[in-house]
Amino acid sequence: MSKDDSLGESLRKQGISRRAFMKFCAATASVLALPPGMATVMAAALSRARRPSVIYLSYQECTGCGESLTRSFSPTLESLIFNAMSLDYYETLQAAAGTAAEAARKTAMKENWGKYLLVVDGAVPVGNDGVYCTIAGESAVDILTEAAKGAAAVVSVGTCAAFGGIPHANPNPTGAVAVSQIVRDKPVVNVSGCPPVPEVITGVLAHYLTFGSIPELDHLGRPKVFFGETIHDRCYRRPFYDQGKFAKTFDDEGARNGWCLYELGCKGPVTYNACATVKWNQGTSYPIESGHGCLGCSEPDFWDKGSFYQALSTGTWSGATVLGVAAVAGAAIGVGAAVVSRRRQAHLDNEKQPKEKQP
Amino acid sequence: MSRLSDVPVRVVGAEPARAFSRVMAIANEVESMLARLADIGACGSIDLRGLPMAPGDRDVLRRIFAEGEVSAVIHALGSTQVYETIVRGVWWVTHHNEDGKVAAEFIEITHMPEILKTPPDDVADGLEMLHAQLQAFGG
Ligand code: SF4
Ligand code: SF4
Repeated sequence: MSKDDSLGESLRKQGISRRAFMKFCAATASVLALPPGMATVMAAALSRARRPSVIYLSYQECTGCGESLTRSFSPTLESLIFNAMSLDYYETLQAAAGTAAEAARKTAMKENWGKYLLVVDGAVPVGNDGVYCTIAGESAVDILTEAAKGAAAVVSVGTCAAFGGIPHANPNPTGAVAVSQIVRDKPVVNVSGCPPVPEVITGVLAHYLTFGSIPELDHLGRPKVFFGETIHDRCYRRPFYDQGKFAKTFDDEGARNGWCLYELGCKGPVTYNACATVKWNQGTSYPIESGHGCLGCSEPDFWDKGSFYQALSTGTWSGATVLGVAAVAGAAIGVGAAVVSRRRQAHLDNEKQPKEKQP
Repeated sequence: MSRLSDVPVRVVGAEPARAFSRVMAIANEVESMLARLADIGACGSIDLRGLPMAPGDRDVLRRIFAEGEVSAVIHALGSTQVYETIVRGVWWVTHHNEDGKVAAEFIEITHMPEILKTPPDDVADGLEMLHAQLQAFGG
């Protein structure tokens, strides 16, 4: 497969039929919540697109994000997106090591200066001149700064890269920060989640390939198409929340009936992510379907916001008090009228902000 | 207990009135798209993936748009099932990936779903293939 082939040509050489490609575009347009008619436009644009160079850097992380991403490497439609890219540097997967690997990165940067996509997972330690993470004698912060200069756009994969994540958690001994705190002059897309949903990662890459631009972002730099709604907004247990029916323990009658997990610590009402719609393990299910509440892993500082098993009403998440009232009222009168909508909650939070300082 | 469906969770659906209104909203959208197809030949499509559906909603929808007289299976990176529903001009298209999981699902309002048509470039490839076949058979 030549680097100069268009995506359409390179897929054809791999024996991917045009119908298979159409199907891939239909599925990708669906993940990106584009109008279904856009699949044809996407197919035309993608088949002409050149394979962009991707440089993937990993810093303070557990490789969970890479694991999530490589799950979409299994023979699925999503894996096609990786055939569509020239992954020129990725320590976790590349065969080259040592100086050969570093040389590959530098060559890819030079040949594609200004055009490559820089993907980063992991937080970046800046304490003590960045000595806590070095590769080939260079600090993570220096490599990132240099690599970002020649990038068309930067994608922060995972909550660690997007918001500092667990390395940034109290007491943050290495001075870990988010990528966006280092890269300030380039568009940075935050694909948060611990780990992020693989289709969300590939969806952002597909959007870039199709439209040559990054998707619209929310106030935290996350693509709105995936992070525009809370888990709670799309949760299938929502009718029980509306009716005030809550599981009180993980093995009570309510839990067996599939009632709402709010009182068991679910952070779905304040967590923006695509789990409830895109789901995990190729659309199989998401954590709430397995009977466990959402941890809020795609939100900044989720690790430092109290117990995962404490109800929002008693924790330190924003909006907690308002939601607590909603839950209690819901339990008392048992009807949907008890629900305070998320927008209303946000509105109430804003009104409260000056009086109630968040920790 | 090896499969998700074996986990002893009894999921109680939303109350019938609510489920009914969700399905009816989709059916009404199909109705207006079908009217446009009849009037001006405009095709339409509804992506079922992003729509909030409670357990049971999909079954009701499948009953309204039950299988009609045409059905096809496409084998390309997993199977795709296509059938025209009993409501003519309304097609149900389900794309599976190679693991058999649903990758995307649409109700299409059209004379013929795009995925069933032979792409123009494939016609040219077909011609080449036919020449090769004829040669192989000594033609
Ligand atoms: S609180 Fe959690 S379990 Fe309950 S409806 Fe919201 S997201 Fe679902
Ligand atoms: S359900 Fe919540 S904690 Fe679980 S992966 Fe999704 S956003 Fe993260």
